[in-house]
Amino acid sequence: MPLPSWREPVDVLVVGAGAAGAAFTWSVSREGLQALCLEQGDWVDPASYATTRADWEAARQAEWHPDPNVRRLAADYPIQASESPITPLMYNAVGGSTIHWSAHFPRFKPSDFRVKTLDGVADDWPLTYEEIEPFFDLNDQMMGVAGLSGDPSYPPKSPRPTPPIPLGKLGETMARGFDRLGWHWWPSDSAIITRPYDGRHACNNCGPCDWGCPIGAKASTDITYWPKALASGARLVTRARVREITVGSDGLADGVIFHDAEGRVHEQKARSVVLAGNGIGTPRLLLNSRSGRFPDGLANGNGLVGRNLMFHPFAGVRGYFDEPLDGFKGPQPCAMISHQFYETDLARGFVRGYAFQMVRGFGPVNSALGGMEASPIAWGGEHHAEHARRWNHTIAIGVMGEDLPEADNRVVLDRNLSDANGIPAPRVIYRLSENSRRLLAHGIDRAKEALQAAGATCVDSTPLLQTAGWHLMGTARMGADPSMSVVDRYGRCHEVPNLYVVDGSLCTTSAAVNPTSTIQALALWVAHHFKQHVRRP
Amino acid sequence: MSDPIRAGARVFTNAERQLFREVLDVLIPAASALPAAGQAGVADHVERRAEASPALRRTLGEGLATIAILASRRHPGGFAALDHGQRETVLRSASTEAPEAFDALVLHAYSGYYALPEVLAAIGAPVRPPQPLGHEMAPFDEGLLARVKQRAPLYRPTPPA
Repeated sequence: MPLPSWREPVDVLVVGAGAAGAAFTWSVSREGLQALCLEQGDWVDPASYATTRADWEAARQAEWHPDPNVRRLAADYPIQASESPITPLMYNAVGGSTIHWSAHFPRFKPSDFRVKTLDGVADDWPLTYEEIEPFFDLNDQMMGVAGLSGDPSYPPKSPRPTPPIPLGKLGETMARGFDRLGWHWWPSDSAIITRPYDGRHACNNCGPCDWGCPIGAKASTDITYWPKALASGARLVTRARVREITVGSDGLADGVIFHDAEGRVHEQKARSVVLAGNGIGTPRLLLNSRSGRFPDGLANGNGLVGRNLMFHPFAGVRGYFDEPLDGFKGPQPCAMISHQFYETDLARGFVRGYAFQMVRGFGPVNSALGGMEASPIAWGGEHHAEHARRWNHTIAIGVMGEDLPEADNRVVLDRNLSDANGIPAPRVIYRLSENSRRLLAHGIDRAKEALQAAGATCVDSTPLLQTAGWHLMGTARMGADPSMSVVDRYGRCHEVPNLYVVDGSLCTTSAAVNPTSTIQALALWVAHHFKQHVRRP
Repeated sequence: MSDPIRAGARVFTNAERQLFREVLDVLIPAASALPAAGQAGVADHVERRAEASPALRRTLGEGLATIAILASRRHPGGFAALDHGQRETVLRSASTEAPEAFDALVLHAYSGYYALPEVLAAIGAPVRPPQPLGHEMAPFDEGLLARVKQRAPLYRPTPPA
């Protein structure tokens, strides 16, 4: 029985309203293209964010948990991740994971796009840092960034829209440690505004950015890109979960089939389809879009859809200090970075590198529960003394390593698990590489050295954080060779030239920094070329 | 105005609630200015979370049932009839016999305890949520970067094609 046509065909249909989908939709809608975005989540009212409640930390264990398998909101879909030491994390809503991200906003570096040429591993990207630099700058203006240009670990950048976030006593303590060792450090680029900007309030240093920012100082695309995109004529339908991409007799994508909030099925036609469902959701949708012409899933003739999944392997290192650090003041995750060990030095025993991210202190509850996956403080008679030693006396360093692409690390469809609409769920298969193990071990030792140089009286570490799969990349990789990649340098699927990918799936390599700034710049790059090449009716 | 931490909910039986309070006093005992968790009303907080989550209700119920059974094996009067050392022994046994449920008890005990105003005040934490007031901080001092600014570039530029 034919499905009812829900609306007239649109120029471009975007799947997913998160970081990349919002940027893409804004860019094309301001050129007059008819853009329709379908988002399985809903708008989230900033007034509902937990940081205004007395039991705000408890929310992180329930409705604000970053793992959709724990959170289990109506917008979420299950993920089978028992074969991965790293748990995939995401948020499904208008704004996507930017709703409760930490807003680290570093860019990938020039060398990240040339890893094969420079280091003989993985693959070069089919574009360069210089080509997407204008889109980094545009995205910085749209999102609003705090930072400081002049970082010697980067090429010169345009002036940052607002000044750096304050270091506070904790950050200054850590800066002294790096200075004693002669190592690099710099205030993080953060998608947080420190002065009023674009009608938004400046950050008031409340602390827990990843619980959602009720004053709008932290950039999430529901308050940055989406209001402008909608004002330009874009349409956004929430609680619309796309089941599959449909294909015409010419082999081109011609729309999608989706479920509305009540589970009813609709078909929406489009002249182009753009996927922005993240590095798990996008391959899931492609693999679920099977047909006689594409029996193994859409754009998957070479079998690469879902393969080369990259996270950022992440180790946690904690230093405990005698003096209080005021660590509850200031954006919790974003004090500073060190890229001292970012670029390859084979004498270290591994290729590529890692970044240090300084994390401010944990709240009283998270301190009791361990913070960055330390062991929880024991219950019983010694509990209070140990809590006093940790709370407001801890600096944590995250060691974020570059994850090299490996074909066996992948997203497939689970045979037994499906979401509330009966759509097969993704299954994640991932193994930590030996290079990553050596890289993290080196980083843990160096982080302990830095903490001790800063005055820590005791240090400990977690070799690999499990609940750290924020960054989902590589599963529809970009490349010049159609046999080795899924999309070309303009995000266009080699096999289906009116089907595009703009989320982290298209990353050829992962770099060793948070990817959102780069993903959004790539989405704007793809949109720029889309507008030049798309044929309007 | 009702206290959101101690606001009442009713998903446990009276026996469960009484046992839970006694367990909480062992998990987080009193110390100087800090109250014991059970006496401070943390059970109400946890019960409120359980009211919103049937799965949590089942998990916590399983944990309390395990503790009750283990205690009754030691004394017909149950957990309340045990001395402090025996109570600790029972809880350590419960943590191995029903680890998931026991971990949930501890997690929610900590979450409730460190949201209590008297506890936050005693440890020196702000007795208010992070918003809307936030915190005053001095702006970033660029002078701290004097050494780093002298460094040669650390990045590798794009190699020639």
